Amino acid sequence: VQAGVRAVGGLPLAFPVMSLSEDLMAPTAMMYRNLLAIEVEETIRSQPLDGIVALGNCDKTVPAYLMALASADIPALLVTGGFRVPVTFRGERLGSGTSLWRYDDERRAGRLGDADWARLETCLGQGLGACNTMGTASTMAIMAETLGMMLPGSAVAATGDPRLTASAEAAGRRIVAMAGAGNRPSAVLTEAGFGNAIAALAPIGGSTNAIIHLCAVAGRRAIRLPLQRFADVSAAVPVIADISPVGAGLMPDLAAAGGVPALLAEIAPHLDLSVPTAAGPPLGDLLTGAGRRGGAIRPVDNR
Amino acid sequence: VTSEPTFTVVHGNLAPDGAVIKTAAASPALLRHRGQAIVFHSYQEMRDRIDDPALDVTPDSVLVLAGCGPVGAAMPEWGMIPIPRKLLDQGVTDMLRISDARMSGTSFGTVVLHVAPESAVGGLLARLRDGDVISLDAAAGELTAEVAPAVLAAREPVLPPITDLRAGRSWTASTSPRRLGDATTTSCRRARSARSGSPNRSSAVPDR
Repeated sequence: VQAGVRAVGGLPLAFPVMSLSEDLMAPTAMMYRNLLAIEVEETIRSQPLDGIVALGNCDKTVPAYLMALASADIPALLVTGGFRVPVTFRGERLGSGTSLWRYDDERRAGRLGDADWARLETCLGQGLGACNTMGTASTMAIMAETLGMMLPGSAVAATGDPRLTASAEAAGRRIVAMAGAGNRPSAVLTEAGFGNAIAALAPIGGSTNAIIHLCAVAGRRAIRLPLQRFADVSAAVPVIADISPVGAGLMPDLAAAGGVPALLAEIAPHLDLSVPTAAGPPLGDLLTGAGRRGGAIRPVDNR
Repeated sequence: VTSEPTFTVVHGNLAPDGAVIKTAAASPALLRHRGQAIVFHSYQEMRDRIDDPALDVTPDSVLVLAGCGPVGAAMPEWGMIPIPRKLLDQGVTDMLRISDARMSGTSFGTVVLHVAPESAVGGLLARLRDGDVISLDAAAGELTAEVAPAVLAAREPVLPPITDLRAGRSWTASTSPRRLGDATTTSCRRARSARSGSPNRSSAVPDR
């Protein structure tokens, strides 16, 4: 990110904020989401910053950033760290969380012994990155990209993928242009923008937590998202992403199928295509040519 | 991928302000279900009882975990209540479960989440008892406790104590439990409902 900022004549400054670890925080990382949102918002407000690239990953960090950026409302982009590359156990790729819950039941029922459990633990703990299932981290990254707060195509990528590094550098370049042009989050965090996010949440079989987080982010722009709206959109837009726990695949399969642009192209009739993307041009322009690659993104007429 | 919608919202006397089911990750056969409740009023009570061989549970029972909403327990991901071991042994993989907690996006099963109002702020979950009959009709958007209003009104609500929230957790036998700070726990006690996204009370946007 800093290389990108410098490349176009900007001055990058890195500053730390608290980190919300999903696995170990007591009583739950959820208790600290609002605290992180306050910290980021007030840091931005108290410093002479022209724009911000928020680096994070996982469930609470992304919504906390979105809440903070919605309120501080200076030119802003998110860059997430990607998903963990799946590891194979007993001949199947392990899905973060989902496989653990299934094997925990096996263990409690006495069908998985201590040695196998120990081996499972080493497999589950391998590598950096967020959950490689359609957990809350994957879901919220997809929400952020759909909302125009992340560069197109950057939300669904494996940790360590060179393309992720390239998109971080591109975000550094882009934020300087956005600061110059005065592109603020309030231009994309609109009724239409949240409508698109809700429309994208249904076809991915997204996390229920995204409902809570989207309501909180929208609240920062004084937009209310009634609960029933999520159900109504779910009834109209079918699940087309074949990703665990609703489907059979994992996040690498969604990346191979074209990620968010390919997904949004498939549900284009349900979207407001006039909203701007983080790259600048309206969503409709982006989706031209982002079409079907098959694989884990099914056509809406053959789910 | 599935013919079920990703989310369904249900209402009823148990959840006048709504609750959410991830229907796409649920068992279609349980989306219309009626059964007797087994009610846990805290996570600890659930852990203490769930694998008890004496637990009076059948595959048709409805597991309820209350006291775990935004105000009660900072809304942890406890909604996917474990299947009792005695049923796991019989091959049961899903049951109807109901909670004011959240669940991980990686979780699955027929789980009614984010029940509002939550137990800690006067929700009916606090007045449920073992044996109460609960019915769910997801397609109709209905979640009902089949208990007479007068009976419910006469019951003492079971509320989650704030000490549970502040006590924190001890991770290993060698680390002592930590007490959480007053600032965040107090702010959590003043959190708004899940349907507003559970922001701080200072949020400019009203609950409704």
